[in-house]
Order: sequence, then structure tokens, then C-alpha cells
Amino acid sequence: MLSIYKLPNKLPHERVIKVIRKDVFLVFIKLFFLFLMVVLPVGFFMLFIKPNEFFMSWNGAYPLIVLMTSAYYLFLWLFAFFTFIDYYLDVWILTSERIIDIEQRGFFSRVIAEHKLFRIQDVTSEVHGVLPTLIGYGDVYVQTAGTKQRFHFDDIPNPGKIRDMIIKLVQRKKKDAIREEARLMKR
Amino acid sequence: MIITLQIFLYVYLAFLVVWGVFFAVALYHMLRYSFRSMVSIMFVTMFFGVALLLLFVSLGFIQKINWQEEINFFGDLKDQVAINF
Repeated sequence: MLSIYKLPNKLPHERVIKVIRKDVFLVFIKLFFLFLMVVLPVGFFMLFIKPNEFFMSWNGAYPLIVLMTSAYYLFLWLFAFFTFIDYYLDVWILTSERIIDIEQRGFFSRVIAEHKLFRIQDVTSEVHGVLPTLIGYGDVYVQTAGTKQRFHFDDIPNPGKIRDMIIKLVQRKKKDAIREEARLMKR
Repeated sequence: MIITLQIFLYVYLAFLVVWGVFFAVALYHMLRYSFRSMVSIMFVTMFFGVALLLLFVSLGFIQKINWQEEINFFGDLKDQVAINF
């Protein structure tokens, strides 16, 4: 397991400011569908299988129902596990020196990228749609110097606050850099 | 066509092997890449525990079935159709 206090290639005096994940509301939506999937076969059995005397009198019916029910619920549980991993392992770590983007893409693909704060030029937050506006989640785009691709935090809670937080950290980092440069010039 | 119920059990066991591999990979990802925290440990324990519970409950039902029993696929079907009409 990783430790939040042992970041990859930790820089001296680096502090973790915030660990950001996708909005929990999105997980609740998936959980709701999962709940429907749990209840669905019970209704299907009561409505279509149980009244069907032809099928129920067959001696292979009970073993088939047992095996299929077991397989179905095991599959659902695995799906729930996948959903949780996708949410939990997709993380953005905002530190006093950089932004670390850890992205879990499916099961066998994991991308870790980092962007130094002093290279950040532009930060944009976007909220589109009824639900994101009501719940308060959206995207944050970070443009770094020299790279065409924008760094993207998707479906995070309070994107406006996160944008402000990044801007403040970038400004502080740039001020520190200017101060350091001036100090070196004086020598 | 007469077959024993065991065939269904073998298909189920094959599913269990695939399921087990995926579950182990998921567990590995959680243990290897998640942050060391109470939340991680709690969720790993919960997913593992409920999976074990599901397997034990399934095993309880499966043990009660006589898998040596033979079933007549199309014979039964013909008989039932004859009864229904």
C-alpha cells in the first residue's frame, strides 16, 4: 500500500495540501443501479419463473436456479469491487510543489503524471448540466507551459474552490521563485 | 438427451475460476496501489468478507443437491408439451 506521507519522488519540504477524488454522488448513482440489479432477479423469479409450472417441475430447475443465482450475485459483487477501485484509485494529489495525477484505467493500466506548480499557466473550472450544478461537481483544466495537452480533473467536487486553491498555490510558488532568484542575484 | 447435473456444476466451477482470478487481481490492486488508511483496510475487508459469505452460502445450497442425478433434456420437454396440449 502507498502512504500519503511517502509520495513518489517526494521533494524536500513538500506538503500534501489536498487529495482529490471524483464526486461521491457519482458512486451513489452506480450503487443505485447496483441495488436495482440486486433486486431485479428476485422480481423476475417471482413474476416469470415461479408461476411457470412447466419449468419448476423439471428436475434440473432447482440446481440451475441455485448455480445461476450464485454466479449472478458473485458477478455483481465483483462489479461493485471494480466500481469502487475505479473511484478510489483515481486520485489527484495537490501538494505544495506539484500536482500528481494517478489514473487507474481498467485493471491492467495505470498512469501516473505530475505537473510542477511553477509551470502552470492557466486554471479553468467548468460545470455543465443540471445535476452537476445542483450537486456541485465539475471539471478543472490545468494548462502547463510547453505542453499542448491540458491536465484534466473530471467530475470533482467544488471545482471552483479547487481552481482557486491551485491558483493561490501557483502564485505563492511563483513569488517564492522570484524571491529566490532575487536572493541569488544579490550574492 | 440424458445428462447428469454434474455438467452444470463444471460450468459453474469454470466460472468460479475466472471470477477468482479477477477478484484476486482486484484485491492486488487495492493492496498494492491504495493509500494505507483505515478506509482502504475497511473496504478491502468488506469486499473480501462479503465475497467469502456469498461463496459459503452458495456452497451450502450446492451441497444439498444430488449432482449425480440424471436429467432428460428433450424427453422431459416433449412430455411436458404433451401434457400442456
